[in-house]
Amino acid sequence: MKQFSRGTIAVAVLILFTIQMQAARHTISGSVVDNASGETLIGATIFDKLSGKGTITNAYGYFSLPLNADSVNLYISFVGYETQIHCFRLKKDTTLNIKLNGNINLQAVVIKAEREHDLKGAQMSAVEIGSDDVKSTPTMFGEADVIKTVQLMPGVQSGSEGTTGMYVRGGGPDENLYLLDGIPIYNVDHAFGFFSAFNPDAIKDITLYKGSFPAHFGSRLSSVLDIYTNNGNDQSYHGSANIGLISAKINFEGPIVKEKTTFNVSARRTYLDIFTRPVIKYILESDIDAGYWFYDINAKITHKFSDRSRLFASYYMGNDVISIGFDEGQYANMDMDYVWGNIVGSLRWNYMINSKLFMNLTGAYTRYKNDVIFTFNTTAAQAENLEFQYRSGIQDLSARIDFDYVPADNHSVKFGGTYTYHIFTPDVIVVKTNEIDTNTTDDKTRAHEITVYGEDTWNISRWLRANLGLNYSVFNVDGKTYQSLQPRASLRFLANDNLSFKLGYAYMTQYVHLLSNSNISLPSDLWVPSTGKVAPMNSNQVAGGMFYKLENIAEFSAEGYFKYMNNLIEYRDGASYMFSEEKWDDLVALGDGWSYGIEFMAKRNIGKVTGWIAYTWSETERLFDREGQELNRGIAFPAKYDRRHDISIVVSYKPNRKIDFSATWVFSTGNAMTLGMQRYQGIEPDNLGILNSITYIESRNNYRMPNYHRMDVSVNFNRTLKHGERTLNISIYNVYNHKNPYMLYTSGNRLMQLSIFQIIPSVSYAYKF
Amino acid sequence: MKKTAHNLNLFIIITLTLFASCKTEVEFDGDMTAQLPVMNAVVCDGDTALSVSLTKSKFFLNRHSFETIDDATVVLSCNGAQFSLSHSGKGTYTLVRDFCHGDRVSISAQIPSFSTALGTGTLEIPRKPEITAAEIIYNNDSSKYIHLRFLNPADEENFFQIRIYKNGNASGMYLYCYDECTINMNSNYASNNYGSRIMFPDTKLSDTCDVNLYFIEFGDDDDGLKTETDSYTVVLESLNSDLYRYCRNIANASSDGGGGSSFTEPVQVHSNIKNGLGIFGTKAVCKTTVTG
Repeated sequence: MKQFSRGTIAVAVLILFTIQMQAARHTISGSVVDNASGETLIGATIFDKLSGKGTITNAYGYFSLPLNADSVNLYISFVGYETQIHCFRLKKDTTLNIKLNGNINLQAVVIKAEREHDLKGAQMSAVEIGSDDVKSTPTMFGEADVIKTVQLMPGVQSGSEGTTGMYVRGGGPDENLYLLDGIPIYNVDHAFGFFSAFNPDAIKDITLYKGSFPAHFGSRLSSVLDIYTNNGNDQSYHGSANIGLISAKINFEGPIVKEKTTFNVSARRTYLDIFTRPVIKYILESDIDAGYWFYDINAKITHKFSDRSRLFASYYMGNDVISIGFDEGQYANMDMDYVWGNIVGSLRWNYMINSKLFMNLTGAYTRYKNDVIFTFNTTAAQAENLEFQYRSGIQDLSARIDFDYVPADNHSVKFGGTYTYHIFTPDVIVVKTNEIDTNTTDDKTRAHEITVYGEDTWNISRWLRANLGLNYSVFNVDGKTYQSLQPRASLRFLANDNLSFKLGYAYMTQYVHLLSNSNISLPSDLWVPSTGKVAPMNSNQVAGGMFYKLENIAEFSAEGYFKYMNNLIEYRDGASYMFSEEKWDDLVALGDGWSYGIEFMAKRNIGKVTGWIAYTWSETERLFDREGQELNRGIAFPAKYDRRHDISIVVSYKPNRKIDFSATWVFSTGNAMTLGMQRYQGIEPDNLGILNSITYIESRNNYRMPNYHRMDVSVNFNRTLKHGERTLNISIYNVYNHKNPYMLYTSGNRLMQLSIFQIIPSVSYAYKF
Repeated sequence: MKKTAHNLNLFIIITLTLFASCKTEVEFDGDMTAQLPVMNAVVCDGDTALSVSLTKSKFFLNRHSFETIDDATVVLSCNGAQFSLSHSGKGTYTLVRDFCHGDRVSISAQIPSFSTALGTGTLEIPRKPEITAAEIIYNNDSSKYIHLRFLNPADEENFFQIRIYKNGNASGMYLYCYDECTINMNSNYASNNYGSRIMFPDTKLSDTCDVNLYFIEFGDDDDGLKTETDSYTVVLESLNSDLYRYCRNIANASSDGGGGSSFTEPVQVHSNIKNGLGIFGTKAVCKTTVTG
């Protein structure tokens, strides 16, 4: 039945693609950029007031708008910029390269959220977030964080305190696709999840999709976080430096060849290790040399061959390092290095083939690795050296081509395809001694994934707009081939200029899984492919919503959703991949899950006081009842992050340019956890004696941790100096020092709570020129 | 400069103290679950008596020791015949009787303080496995292992557990099987290592099974050299499926107390007692001793 309904939708979409579309006489095409920096503007609106037709710039700042040969009254606008009006008579295909001027007064008070995906766009369940939003949210240790800001949106839940993992509409942390300039990035954590891998200084635009996914996205069930980085200023050199309690970062951008070639480089490093090394030595009174740090680098070079052709080369590298050395003097020394991180590199070529057809060609490499290297050396005459390595990771090589085609003024078509070559290294153990150098395990798994897609945004009438698409993917691993046809659809009905209703459906398939323990997420969690034993995950999601704009006051939205997921994986009872000799796919069970909920958001974008209130009511359950794979005795149980209530309140107050305040308050129902409430005597398996005592677990996730809530506040003191601006930021995390639960455990006959973050004041200093 | 460094270190220490994680005892905020009756018994091929233990479970925050049940009526059903067990104190009920392979047994218990009776399904006592060869092998690299050959009864589904004792030390914890236990050279079975013992089903075994038992000896100066005075006892047990599942669960749960640690999933220990908790199992045991 499911196959039939998907097939029906597929046929309907194909028919729509072949509909005879009315050809426009001429097309206005071009790009929209920031006048001061030359930075392309994503999602800028180009609207002809006379015909009522309009479009927006794509992810690379290009647009194409077919119109009848007639007078046009073109409004080009973007949030935070002065609107430009171009009036002329359209006699032929016309190229317009627009340079918008930033509106300084407006910028000071506007939060750029949901610019396009709000009232009038066909897309639902999407949120756009500007880098300013990220920077204006109160910070921990003075570090603004992209994912922590995203977690304040409705439908998005944070994991345990201090982690950056996202749980979107009942999905797991591996069901989110993080795209950095269109390239997947597998691990988004620094410092065990205390910070995310994205440096806000390098970021231009962030869009989160929670459902109703456009067909050009795929490969994850629950969300897409689409992040674009700055290209770099093509006029003059600019930069910023920021120093905080535990980290420092710099950003530098400018032209290599003015208005042709630009660069943008950002780097960040923590330096807590520099201070803690001597402290640890002092406290432990030993020669233990231990430290932790992370760093990341973003670099991007953009070359403009012409107004129609651009080349981008971008690179990201980030690593976390734990280094511990034990020096036993003349006898031996021992070192342990634990390194994990990402490398992402891409080369992209944008080319506007003609006024209606835009092409984006991308080649990319992304890698996540997790290495533990343990070395032991004796310093005696007969030196013995032992090296133990535990390595895991994933590498992708991919080629992608995308086309934007505007055949008529009421159709905007996207189509393209991707080929990805995956190399999975779930776990490799290497032991080296003086005599031996061996890989005891080396089971790299190679997989091929091909995706093609097509979608059309169809303005059926002024009131009705639809986005219909198909995504087809094939995954081949170890001789096993899976395929999936995934229809996507969303529909918007505009009741009036201030009220719209939307509906959406998305079928998604995911071929990669993250093996993580339900209690804690670690960098050593393994990325693994679907195999003969572990089928790909699928989800069906329907969503509906209402969007209302109260002119000059606030915007309101309400969305409801239902999502059903198949082939979810969970570890079996007692399983852990750490130190396990079993293959990972023998440790997991496959099951189903479902989630439903309602999300409300009220957002104010204008005025001195801005911010939003987000509330989510949801319920998420798992069912593992397949024969031989039963969990919880085959009975449905709440997912770990099943939370009934989630509230986020974000307020920002900017009375003038010298000072601004912001505060957030979050509340959520406590996480579900497993608590064995009865204990009993059993039999000792060895000698049949009495075994004291066995914990009786009635059901998985049968207990709720205490509710979570905290308030963060932040104040920025801004000052214009001779050559730039400086900002002094003072933030307090968890200002009323609430002891939130990180985990509960039993100690003897007591129930104990571990809280990791109490009140954390921080200060940072930034200089921008 | 020195003063600055001193102040900086002081600041770091104070900051770390401020940020340090905090443990607090919290109130249990939920419904207190009721006590459940617990029955444990294992019937072994060749046993001349049966002992059944009856206790009550307790709430996890309860500091008291487990209560025994001393007023129950316990009945064994063996091959269709009913036998009442006699109370021998501290929640223990016994019956003197010879048990052998093929006996079909079940137990029921009526407990006045619980409204529903405890019961079990009917289990069959498994056939005793037969060890046909055992020898200790010394390697050139100072390691040694025991090669064991035994017959796997082909007409029934069997679940095995192997333990090793050294010099009659019956604690079972003195030695443990190292991670290279191979059965018919199928390394997948190495995953069934549980420290002091290995457990595995016979689903992939042929009628004649060869097992290499690698082990490390703790608490002794084991240099791998041949020592003729040392003797190793290999205990091979055939368990019924319920007891096998129970033993595996117990082994999985032992590292975290059953509630799941940060790194392992919680374990729901298998029980086949209707209206209660515990385990009723059957098994058959054979032993052999090899000397260095």
